[in-house]
Amino acid sequence: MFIFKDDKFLMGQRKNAHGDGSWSVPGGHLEFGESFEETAIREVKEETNLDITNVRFGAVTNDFFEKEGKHYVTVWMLSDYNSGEVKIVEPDKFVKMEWRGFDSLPQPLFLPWNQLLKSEFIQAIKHNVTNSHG
Amino acid sequence: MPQPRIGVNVFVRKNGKILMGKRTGGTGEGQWCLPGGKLEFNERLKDCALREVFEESGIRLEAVEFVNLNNDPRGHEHWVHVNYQADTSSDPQLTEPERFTAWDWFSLDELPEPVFFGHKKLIEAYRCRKIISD
Repeated sequence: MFIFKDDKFLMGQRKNAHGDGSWSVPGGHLEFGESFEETAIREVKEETNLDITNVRFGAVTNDFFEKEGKHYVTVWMLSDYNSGEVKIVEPDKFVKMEWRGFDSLPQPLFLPWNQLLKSEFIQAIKHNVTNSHG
Repeated sequence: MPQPRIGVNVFVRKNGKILMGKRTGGTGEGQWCLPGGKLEFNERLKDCALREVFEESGIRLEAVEFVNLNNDPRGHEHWVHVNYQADTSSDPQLTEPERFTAWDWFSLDELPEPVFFGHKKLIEAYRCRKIISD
């Protein structure tokens, strides 16, 4: 979930799960019976305390975690910040959270970012960041 | 709770028409659908698209282009469809007669009846050029 605000988006440093120590945007599993938008709003609230608006499609990537033997299809959604103060609601999952841009990506990045950054969707996402009104 | 499953489908185009097959031997008996199938563990999305089209129709595509994403929770089943398109000059063969009784080309304005219930939403999204249907 990209949450756009003032030409930046919120990134968190992961803890415990696969990709421990790496950076990504908030997100989680699509639950059985859930819509993409419902997942997006729920996960962002659960992880960051923020309320988002204007949820829309960003990208789809295919991510294989060799070491863990996990295969994910990641749906990347875009949204605009609506209200709330950033809070690390689940400190067992995230060490810290910061507003970043594509010119200031933290390292190391979570594995699915490798696919995202070389995907056909990345230009449109970058365009969205600079045109968001969140 | 079971997990949502990933389906990959392809709009194979020739002379302004798309390829559809008449299903047999399973869900949606007698209904017309796009070529496609279930993403296998550790398979790339586009490789899945190329593989399914070849297995089901004998058509070898060189490359596919992303068109849309469809989320389809429907009670006892929940599918996420990732859909692609490609042009071809080849004609289909009945390579899996236990699964398809016919292949034919159809204009989006004159689709065969009945269209497979699992593909209705994503075909409608394709007609309307909607990148996401949820």
